[in-house]
Amino acid sequence: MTPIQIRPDEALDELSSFQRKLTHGVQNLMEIGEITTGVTPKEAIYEEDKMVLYRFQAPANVVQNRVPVLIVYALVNRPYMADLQDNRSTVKGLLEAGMDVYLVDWGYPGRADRYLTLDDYINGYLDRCVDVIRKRHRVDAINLLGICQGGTFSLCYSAMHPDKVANLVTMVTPVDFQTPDNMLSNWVRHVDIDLIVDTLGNIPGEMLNWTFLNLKPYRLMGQKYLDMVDLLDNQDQVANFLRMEKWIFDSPDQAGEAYRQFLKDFYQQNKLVNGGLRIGPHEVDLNKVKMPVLNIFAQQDHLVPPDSSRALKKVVGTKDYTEISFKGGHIGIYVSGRAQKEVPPAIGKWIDERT
Amino acid sequence: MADSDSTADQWLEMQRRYWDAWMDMTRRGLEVATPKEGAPENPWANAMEQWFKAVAPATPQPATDLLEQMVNVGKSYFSMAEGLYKAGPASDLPEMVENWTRMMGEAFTTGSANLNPFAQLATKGGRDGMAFWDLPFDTLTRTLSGSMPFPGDFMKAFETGKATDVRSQLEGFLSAPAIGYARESQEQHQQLGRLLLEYEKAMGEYQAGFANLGTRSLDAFQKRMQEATKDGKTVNSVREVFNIWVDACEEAYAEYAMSDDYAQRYGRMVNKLMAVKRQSALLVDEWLEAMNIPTASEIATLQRRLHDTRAAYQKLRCQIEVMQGELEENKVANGDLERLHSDIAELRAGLEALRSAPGAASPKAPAAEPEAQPPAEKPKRTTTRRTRTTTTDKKPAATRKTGTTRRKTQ
Repeated sequence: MTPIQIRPDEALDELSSFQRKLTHGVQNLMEIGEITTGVTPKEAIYEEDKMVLYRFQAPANVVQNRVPVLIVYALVNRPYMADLQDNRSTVKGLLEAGMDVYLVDWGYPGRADRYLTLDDYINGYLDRCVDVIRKRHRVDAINLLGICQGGTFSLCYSAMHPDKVANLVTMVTPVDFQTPDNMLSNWVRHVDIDLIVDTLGNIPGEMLNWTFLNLKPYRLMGQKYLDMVDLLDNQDQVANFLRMEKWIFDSPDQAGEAYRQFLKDFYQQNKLVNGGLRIGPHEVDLNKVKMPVLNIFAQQDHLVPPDSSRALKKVVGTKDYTEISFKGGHIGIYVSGRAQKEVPPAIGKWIDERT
Repeated sequence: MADSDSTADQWLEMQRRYWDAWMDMTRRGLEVATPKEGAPENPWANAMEQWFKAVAPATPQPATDLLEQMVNVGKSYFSMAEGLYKAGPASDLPEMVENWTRMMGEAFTTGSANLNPFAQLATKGGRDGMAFWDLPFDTLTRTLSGSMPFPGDFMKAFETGKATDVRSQLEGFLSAPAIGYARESQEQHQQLGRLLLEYEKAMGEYQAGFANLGTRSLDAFQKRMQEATKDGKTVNSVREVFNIWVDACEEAYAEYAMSDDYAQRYGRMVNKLMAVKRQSALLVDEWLEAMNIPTASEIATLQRRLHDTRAAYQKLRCQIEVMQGELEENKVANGDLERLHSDIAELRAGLEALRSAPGAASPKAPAAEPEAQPPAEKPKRTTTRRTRTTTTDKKPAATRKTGTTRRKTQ
């Protein structure tokens, strides 16, 4: 007995309905106009090269925590994912939770930026941003909130400059880069990273896009577009979908030297866990991360497996370690309805309890 | 504006009528008989393709890209439904599904795009034949064409047996010994040729790795069907079948992509591609140098120097900021000192004024005591001098050394 029980006339109705939705939905697609991203008002506080430090405008009726939070996003993709739209904004949620929120936008590296290293990014740009905020608020240390690769950067920064970080929050952050389920790690095992960087200079964003989409090619390049047809009659849903598509394919090129070190030291040699990692003049010893740490990971993360994030617990030096396991994926943790209700308030509460 | 809206409405209405008419026709055909010989292989999917061709020119960006993706996946979805119909009498569902599964298996083993329900998923424009399970490879090809120093379809010319087969010509060129004045240049070009052949081989091996993905996906699909049967679950729509199929494809793909075999093939392919690109860049650089045009390696040197200079500048800037901060602190301290001096001066002036005031001694008799003190201060100053003298006496060598140094400096 087969479980497939489809009557021919029902199948035809199904196809007819699909085509009708597609035909009618075209009108919504045509009227959609420009796709905007980044909704919360913000002010540029500090700029250096292509990097900009923003401060978000807090709602007037919320009492703010006196120690600000700096969001450190990844070099891959753009940070507006954290503030995608009005009802999908981690930034907005943090502001409403009483946080004073700053964000580092790394910008789009050009060919002249190919020699930017991890030292430049972490001990240079990021450290100067932290200093600017410390000075503005007259505090010795601020709160860091690192997302994905930005979480790894925040972790390294906290190990190298522990006196400047009051509390550390990591979201979907890879720590152990060689867990058995890490597909990206498997792919780069036999790749000559030096040859790639020496040949290409900067690494094209399109190449990264291909890599990420191919983690789940049939779902990300096939099925989701079929599901999209069901939403076509709703203009808001269409706009949401296109906004997400814009973000997915908005991948800056990667500065060659930073990419070289990240791929070799983190992915190929797993030095963050195994030890021996140096960034510029500093040794990165996670045992020096003594400040409180909140580690948030997603249970269905196809990009950063949960075990990769969970590894932090065993290697970090703090005695105040908290984990939040979010039921969702790598993207859903910023934009899903559940995430809006759960994640920013939890971060705000955790920080408030420690400042 | 009103005219424009009106035109758009008419155009959309035309599309709707087109599709409704087509669906009615298909429905009537379906009711009358099963597909006949000579009829289109995938009539519904073909209809969708025709519809898209009519709609696309009037659809603005970025909607066109999205629409195209939806139509491509939609065609596969339709093909799957059509595949089910073709598989046997609709009255006998178990037989239909069994036949359909068998047809899919044949499609995988023979590579027949016509039997393949997902054959058109990855097609773009007029290009076809790329199967659903080849999606990762298809997107890779598109991505890599951007990294190749040659046109995207250049490597197709290497396929043996084609009219454009350049392999035999290239192999002949590579076997020619490099001699004479242009020996080095010839060797460089021969090296590029060798690398191209190596890349072509590595790419072929990488692609071959996907060969069994289809049959593995089918195995995973059948396993899911068996589990559903065991659990007493039913699948009541083509969409559900499609989703189960996607899950099965993902499962088979993930298993392969996590293997060491995949990692090795992928690594070889990427490394060989980079070697080709690097050798090409080297040749271009030589040509640019001959033309007295800045080369990529020269620009890279300048970029590195600029980066190092900027890093040094940033370091200095930070140091200056620290020093400025310290200077500010010193200024504050100096200000305090000056105020202290000023206060002392005022006090002294006040004291002098008190001393010189006529009759000051009578009302302030106790204050007269300090006037008697000056003789007592003398021993204090003397003590200091003595201390200094003592210190000098204790460390005569150091003093002499300092004095010597001073003289030398002067």
